[in-house]
Amino acid sequence: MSGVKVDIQWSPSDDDMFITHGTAINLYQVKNRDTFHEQHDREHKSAERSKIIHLATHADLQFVKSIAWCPRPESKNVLAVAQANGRISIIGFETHGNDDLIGKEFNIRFNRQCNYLSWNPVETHLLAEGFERNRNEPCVLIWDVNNNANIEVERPSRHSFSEGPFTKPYLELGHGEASSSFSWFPNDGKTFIMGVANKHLRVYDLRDSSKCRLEAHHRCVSGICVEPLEDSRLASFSESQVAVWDLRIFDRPINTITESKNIMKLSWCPKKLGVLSILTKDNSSIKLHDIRHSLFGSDEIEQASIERNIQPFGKSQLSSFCWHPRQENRLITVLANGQLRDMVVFERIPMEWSSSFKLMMPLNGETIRCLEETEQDNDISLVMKRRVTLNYGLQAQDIAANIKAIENEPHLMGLWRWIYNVREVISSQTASNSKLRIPAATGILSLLRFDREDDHLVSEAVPVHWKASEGGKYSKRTHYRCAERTMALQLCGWIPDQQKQNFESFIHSLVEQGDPERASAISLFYLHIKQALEILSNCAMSAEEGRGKPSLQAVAMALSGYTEDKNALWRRTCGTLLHQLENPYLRAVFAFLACDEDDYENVLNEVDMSVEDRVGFALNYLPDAKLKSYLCKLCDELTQSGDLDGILLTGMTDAGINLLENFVDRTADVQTAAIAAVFSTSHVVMKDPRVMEWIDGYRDLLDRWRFWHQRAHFDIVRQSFVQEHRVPAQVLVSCNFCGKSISTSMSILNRARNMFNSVLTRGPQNRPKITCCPSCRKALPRCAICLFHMGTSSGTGIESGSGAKLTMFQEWFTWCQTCRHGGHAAHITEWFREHSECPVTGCPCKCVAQDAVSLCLPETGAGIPKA
Amino acid sequence: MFVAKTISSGHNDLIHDVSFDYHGRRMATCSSDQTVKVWDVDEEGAWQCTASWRTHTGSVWRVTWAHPEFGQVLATCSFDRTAAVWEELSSDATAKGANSTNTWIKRTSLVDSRTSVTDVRFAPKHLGLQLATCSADGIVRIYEAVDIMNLSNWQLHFEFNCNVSLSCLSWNTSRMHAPMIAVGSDDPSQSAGGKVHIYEYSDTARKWLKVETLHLITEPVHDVRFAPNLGRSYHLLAIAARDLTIVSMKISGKESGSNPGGVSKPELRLVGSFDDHESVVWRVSWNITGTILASSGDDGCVRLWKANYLDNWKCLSVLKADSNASEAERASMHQASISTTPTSNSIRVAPPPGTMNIKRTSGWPYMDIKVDQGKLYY
Repeated sequence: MSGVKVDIQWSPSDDDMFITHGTAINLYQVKNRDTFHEQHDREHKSAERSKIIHLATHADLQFVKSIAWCPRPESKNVLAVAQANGRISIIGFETHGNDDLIGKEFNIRFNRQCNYLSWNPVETHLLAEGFERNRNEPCVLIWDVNNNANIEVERPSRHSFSEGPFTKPYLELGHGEASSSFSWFPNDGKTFIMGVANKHLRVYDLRDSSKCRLEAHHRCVSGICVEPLEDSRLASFSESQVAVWDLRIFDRPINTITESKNIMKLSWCPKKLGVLSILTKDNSSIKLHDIRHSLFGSDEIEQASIERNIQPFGKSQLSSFCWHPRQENRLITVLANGQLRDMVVFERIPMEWSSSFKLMMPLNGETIRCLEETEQDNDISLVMKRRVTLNYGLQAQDIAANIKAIENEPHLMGLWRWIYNVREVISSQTASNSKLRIPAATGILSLLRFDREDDHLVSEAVPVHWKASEGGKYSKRTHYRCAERTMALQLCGWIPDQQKQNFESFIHSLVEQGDPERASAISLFYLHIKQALEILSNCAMSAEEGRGKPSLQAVAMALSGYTEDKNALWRRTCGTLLHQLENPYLRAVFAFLACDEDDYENVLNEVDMSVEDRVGFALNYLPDAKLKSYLCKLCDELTQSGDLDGILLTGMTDAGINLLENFVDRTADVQTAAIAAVFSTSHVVMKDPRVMEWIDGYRDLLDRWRFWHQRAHFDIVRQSFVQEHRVPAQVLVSCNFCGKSISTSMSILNRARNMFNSVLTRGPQNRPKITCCPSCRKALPRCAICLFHMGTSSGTGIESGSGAKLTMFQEWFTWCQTCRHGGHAAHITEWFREHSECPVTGCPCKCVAQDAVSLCLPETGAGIPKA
Repeated sequence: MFVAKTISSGHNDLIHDVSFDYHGRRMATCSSDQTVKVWDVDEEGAWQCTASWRTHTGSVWRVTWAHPEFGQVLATCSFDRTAAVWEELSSDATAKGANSTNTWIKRTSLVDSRTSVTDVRFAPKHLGLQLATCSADGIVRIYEAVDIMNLSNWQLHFEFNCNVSLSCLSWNTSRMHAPMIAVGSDDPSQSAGGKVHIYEYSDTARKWLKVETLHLITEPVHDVRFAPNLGRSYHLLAIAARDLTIVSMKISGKESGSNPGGVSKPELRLVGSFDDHESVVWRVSWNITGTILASSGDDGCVRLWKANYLDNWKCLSVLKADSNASEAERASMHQASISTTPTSNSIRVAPPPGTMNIKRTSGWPYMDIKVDQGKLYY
């Protein structure tokens, strides 16, 4: 620190002017920065909206001790400056300003250290100055700045060290004492409070200054300040202690706050009730105390305050601060080196996310801002909700319908292809009655028995001879085949070329799907090079139609030049070309042709190829041991990264759940995890605690979004795969007289259901009437609205004229759980559309308000699949 | 993008807390003016204040909703040293107009605390109707409604003293293991050690035991929140102190018998720590999936945070409190693109050049376990 304390003050009349004074007095203005919105400067200094402009400096006066800004609106930028020797000069910054105050000086009889200067905010001609003790001289002088008449009083002959002519003050107080602080009451120009002699706080009235009106004995006499918004409350400090006073109980402070260091500045927030700001020595932060939280108990007063720190310059130690007198929460702070910061102290914002993606932020007492996340944000929460509206995971039979919801999310496709393929395989098994059967939810690893130590896969090596071109010689590649491998290939979505017909159509369908590279790669993997070439060139030919890929022609050309010769130019060119191809399948094709037999590393590590195709290739070309190590390694990698494509390998087993767990950890997509577990149709999987957590978590999500219908559908889907438990009948209606369920005699559910079915088919004329209890033959109660016995057709729609169709539900019993009055559902619903009280005479029950949950309606707008 | 709208609150003083019900259709606010207001959303999506009443004789710090299964129930806590449970008596739901006000009646007043009750939270639903409070004298109290049909009867089940002034608490919502609470202290002295403590209920000891203290955080803590777990194998805890800190917590498997009292020590990892809020972070809030974190601080901004593919948390957008309602400034966050090829696991997405002042720490869970050098903090 430079040793000079820099102080700072806002102008009492202008909103954008302030001064700092240390060695010199500087006037500044704050200008709004217009260009703020355009430049998104992230640096925080420039991100502030305003710029501080230095307007003028006044350096003529030496040893400035205290400054008071003239509160008159007409005298702009007029300051009273007290020098260390007690002399006051009134200066003005305004160049054109010819305020008659400027240039006035007030001298005191004996030079003394000045402590403060305070301009009366209401009676603006009064200026108070306080001094250290000097013999029997008064320690507080109040000047009348308008009164120039009293300038030349006779100079005392002795002991005078004062330079100019000494001025007669308006009022003198506190003879022989020292005054350390002073404050006018902001809304009353006649009274003031001052701290004297380090032990008294005294309140005076100008109208009767002979004696003080109130006095308190306390050592906190420095920095007295009256709260602008609450006249009777004031604060003062001494060293490290702050005392808060209430004038109505002035005998002792209502609250004391003890700081760890000596206090430099104390001030109330001018626009906020009960907030005291404190700056202590060598501190980088201003502490705010909300002192309203004092509890006034019966006898003991509990002292408490809510603290908050403001640190405008990081760790730099502040020199002073000043609250803007009119703008709420605006604060200017200064460092000893003169660095300034004009800032707004923001209210603390509590906020909360709602389950429907709203973020509520109350900005202050008056306004709450609501933000809503919209569809463009790709957060998983919104994505899941969107998928629900597209019936993701709610189609038990038609797998493809589920995929519609995730069309744009290829990372989920692998899972669904596996679910689809497993289903296809299982259904074809049932059809063909083949010996080898796979259980549901199988992955390739367990299908090939790689997950067991004691069992080994035995497959047969089949040499396949082929030639690349008509004239070429035959070359040999080895395929490995066995029943398990064939089935595994089916899980990969491949169709082996043993079934000629199916293979053709498989390849053809791939081309149709717009993936000729993959088609040609697969056909080449089965060594149908001719077919592969045809696919490529056909595709290139259709370039004219605007959807082909002309570059493929070149690729086909290159391929057709294939030669077995290991050192041929073709091979070397291939090696370089390989890295320039963008399509992973084309790269794989070249890698396949270029590699030696039994060394397919380049193809297998072609990571941009889908997992299915890599596995499919491996299933064809790798011998058992190698296949095992390759698949296990791949499986580990995919499990670690939580890649859902790995489900193909693991299946829905423990390993698969581990993989799903990593997937959930990474993406928080509990929806897919829960649905995948359900679609695995495996009892074991559903018993896993993690899976149960996912399913519960997902159902809870659906409930929170009020997707109750979708939740019910999800439960139905779950139930259809895994029969966990039967939900027992929940409610029955029993007869008032005999107590038996009125549906018992109809052999409960089945009969009733049959009856309804038949009712629906037979039409209203054949509907049986059940207006009495089937067991005791007593009549059922009457509907409170139509007064017919329950069980009769309710004849809705006649009165209302709405032409509503007569459905079974309208005739249903319904009643209030509290008053136990009720009637036909349709009548009751209609009644409560307009009323809140029970329709029965004399019953005051507000039935409709009983169940607040009923006011909460399910989320609509989402299509619900038809059962 | 975010759509913003502004509601006039009608509170006469600072709003200290806002809370949504389970479905996000009702909202409660509490304020220094000693009142609580309940808001309902109407058909057009506008919020209407349907109840406003004086709750306490001091500032109301927090308000929270119980699960709707237990009825329309609110709990509040206040500077007046009490916490209270409120239930709605919806007797006048006739007119759905603006003038309909529902009556909330005080079911109970929990007066055990001798100092200001600083936070109150209902336990997750699977634990029944339980309520935890913490107070400035450092005591956490856990109450349980003996009979959920009669909410005026609450029993103080557990009480434990943390010996530091507490400011906030949060329940872990996971059903997978024993009940767990994180508490934060706003004690200003930095020498007092860690400011966030984690307690777990031990079935064998039949009491709450401290399982962990986060020594990482020595600054006063203003808010702690567990992220909704949603089936993840780890728990995220957001801490608002001087910096915003996100800690991931993994509870190692089954309770190992070696620990006294049968509580297992969770494994903690620092996921991120951010000082963007210049000075103090005031509140944190997770979205429904625990994938977006909102934080507010003394710089007057609300920031939204999101983890990218590699679990590096980044600032998604900055919302300035004093900006126009329509202006939601969006930080130039490079949306971590989830690579669309099915084999993207091998492509390490390079973290985009840091646009914000982020102290990046290696994330967990990580794509590549071998590379993960996440520090362990105890």
